[in-house]
Amino acid sequence: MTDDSGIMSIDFLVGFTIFMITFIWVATLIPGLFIGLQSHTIDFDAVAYRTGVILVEDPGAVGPLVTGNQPWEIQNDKRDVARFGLAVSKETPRILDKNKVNRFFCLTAFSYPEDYQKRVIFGDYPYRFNISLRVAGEDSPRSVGEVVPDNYPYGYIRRDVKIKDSSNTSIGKTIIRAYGYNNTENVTFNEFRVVINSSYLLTGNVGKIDNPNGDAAYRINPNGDRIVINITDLDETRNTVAHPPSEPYSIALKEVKFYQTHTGDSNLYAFSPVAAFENYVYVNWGTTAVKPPANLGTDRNLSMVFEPGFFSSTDKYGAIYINLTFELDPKQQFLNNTHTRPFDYNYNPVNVTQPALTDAVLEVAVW
Amino acid sequence: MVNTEGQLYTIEGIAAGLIMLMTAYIVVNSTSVYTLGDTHISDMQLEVLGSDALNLMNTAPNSTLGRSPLQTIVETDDAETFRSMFLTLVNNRAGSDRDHIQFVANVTYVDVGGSVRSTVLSDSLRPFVSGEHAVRVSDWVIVEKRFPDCSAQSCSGKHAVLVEVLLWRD
Repeated sequence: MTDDSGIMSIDFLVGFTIFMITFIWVATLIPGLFIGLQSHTIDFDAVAYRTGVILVEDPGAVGPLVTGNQPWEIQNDKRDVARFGLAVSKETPRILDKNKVNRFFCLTAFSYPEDYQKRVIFGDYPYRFNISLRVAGEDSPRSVGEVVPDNYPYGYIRRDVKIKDSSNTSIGKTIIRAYGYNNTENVTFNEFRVVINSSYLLTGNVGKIDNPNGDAAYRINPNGDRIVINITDLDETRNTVAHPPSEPYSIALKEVKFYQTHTGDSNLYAFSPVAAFENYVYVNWGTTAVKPPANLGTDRNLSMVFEPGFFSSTDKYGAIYINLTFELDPKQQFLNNTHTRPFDYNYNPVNVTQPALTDAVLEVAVW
Repeated sequence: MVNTEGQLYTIEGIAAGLIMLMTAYIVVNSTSVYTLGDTHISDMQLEVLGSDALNLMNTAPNSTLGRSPLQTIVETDDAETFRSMFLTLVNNRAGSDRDHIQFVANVTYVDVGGSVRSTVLSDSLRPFVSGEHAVRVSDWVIVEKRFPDCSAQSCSGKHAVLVEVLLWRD
């Protein structure tokens, strides 16, 4: 019953429906054809996850031209850094090293995006990204990369971590009295020695931690960690009866000498800090480091801050000796341990404030 | 020329078809369709966060103490400390805003008869009804504690218990 009245039949509707279903089915297959070309749109989450794992669970790596067992964060030339990784060691995921964190977020040492792209993001596609770290107790988060977009999909991962701080010691009147660190003779030059036994620190037991794989989180590593030695209450070691404070006197840190021993060899071998580290003495909590000798005048406090890498050339199975020589005028009793043993920088919490772990949260966004 | 033969006027039919197609197109484009294949991403993010938080709670803050906060919490049944520590860890972000993750935590141990038992350790004060899409994380903790149905010879002294946490987004 055909006519020209402009109506369509059920047959047409059925045919059109089958056509549309087929069309939709084919249309759904098309994106699969372009996966190879458009893969970056679907793997943002995977890249963010991978970046998070590298940062949180990997200690990083140096390039093939670096000799010795040196970590990436003390390399001066960024070409020697092969892969970023903030973990203290690969046995301690989620425990980040403060020195690595400081170096990673240092935008004068590395530039966004190229330095970060080939050392932590990887891949041929030029991903844009933001890596942020908020440390408990710090005012604002540290960040590298661009601002995360509001209206654009991005891959995201968040990791809870802890940051391992460095150790330090404050040699004050309690320690000086307990170990008998004052001389009983009146002399002009008083010598005070500190020993950092690398071999023991790197292989011995760490405090009460009995997990051999987890102890890297609490270990003091003289070759890579910052070491801080504060000497306070210097006045306490003087004989103030024989030399009352009203009498004029002067104290100078005349020199600091460094020695090391090697594995199986107890002889002392002198060494000098490299030029980059030669200013390490702070007088009376000052903010500027000076190179010894330093005049203390009548100040009571002295700090020595050995930045990460200061002792990197020393034998990790030996020991480091730091000899401080104080010059006094007039000659008198002072801080001196030549008659007893050197002060030991070790895992005893009485001697050294042990590395503490601070909470932090790391976020990676990739787009 | 309307009759009862189930016919449709051509122009109206095409117009209606186009409108339907347009509507479908706009709807599909304006929202991201959340398919079953995508759920593993948010599951993975939650799981990573939960195991990070639990593992960090089971880490001693320094070598002098030698004990983790989680060991102390399990030994003293301190639900309040677990709640505040766990929620702080999982909800913390690098920005100033906070996430909205809820949880229920259990401790599982072996009792005097050798059978496995669980007790509730803590929760986020939000009841767990079966509708949430929750993931499970767990960590072994070495504790020195005598559980209620333990004899002095069995599960007292230093032994391992399993802390399991179910967590979901509000």
